[in-house]
Amino acid sequence: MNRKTGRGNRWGLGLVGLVLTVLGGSALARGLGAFSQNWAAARTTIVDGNVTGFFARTGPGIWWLVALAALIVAVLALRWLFVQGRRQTRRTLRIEDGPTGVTDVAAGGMAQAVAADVATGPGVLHADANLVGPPGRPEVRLRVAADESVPIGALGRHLAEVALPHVRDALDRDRVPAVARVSLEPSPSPHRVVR
Amino acid sequence: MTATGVTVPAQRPAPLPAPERRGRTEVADRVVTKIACCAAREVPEVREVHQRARPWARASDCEVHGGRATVRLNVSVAYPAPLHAVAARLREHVIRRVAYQTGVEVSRLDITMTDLGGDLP
Repeated sequence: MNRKTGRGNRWGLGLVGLVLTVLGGSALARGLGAFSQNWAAARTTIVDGNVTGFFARTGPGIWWLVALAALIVAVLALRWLFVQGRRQTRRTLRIEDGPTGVTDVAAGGMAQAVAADVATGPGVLHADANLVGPPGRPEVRLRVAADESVPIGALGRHLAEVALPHVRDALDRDRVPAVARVSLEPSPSPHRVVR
Repeated sequence: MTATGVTVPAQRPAPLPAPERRGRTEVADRVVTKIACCAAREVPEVREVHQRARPWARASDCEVHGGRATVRLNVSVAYPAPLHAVAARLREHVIRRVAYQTGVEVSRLDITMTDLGGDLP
């Protein structure tokens, strides 16, 4: 899921919540007799004679409309489902496009190299990297699991002075934004050697 | 006056072209691909050239049309090497080497760096 999908999800969920709240509130208001008793009397079923009469009067055409609406809802729901799998990660990074040919870098390969570079830092137990962002402005996302007994400043320095300059050098860019998410974990217990 | 037999001297055959101009030499795509891959391996920062297709990457290949070739190379490059510079060096070396060995002019060389890693030479 990327940021755009997350924003879409929030809007969609908000909208569905709003619709359900309005419907539920209306039903509650009707039950409590808040509406005109001639039009929607409390203590009567919602699907009453008026509703069935309406469907009976309009003929079979209305059911086609209902089917169409259901189809649209189904298509929207499927699209929502597929969009959940959309990732922000790039597959390739085009670093050059000239008359003599293009140069692409596989984003996965680059990410692995960056992760391996970060993993050489002090107290890093595990590192994972991703390259995201539009073609001209690659960004680095790092997830680092670090040993909690090692000062975090040392890891910060390693990122700022070794790993990220390497990314900038490799891509030949003055600025490559990076976000590192560091989780601290207890240091791994030393292996016991049984003789 | 009666016609008498005239002996026409046998016509000399047209002179053959110089030996190096007789016949046509075609260089197969495969040959250019192989030479390009070998040349790419000579660039110090290139750690590996993927000549065959892999599940996640196309093979390095080449198309030759009338003395001009389009080459596509998949390579592994050392990290952290400056990728622009490596690509430029690779392009220059491969184009020069293919032209020298086959006479085929590489008009386009697309490079895909499929993986990075390993130490700089």
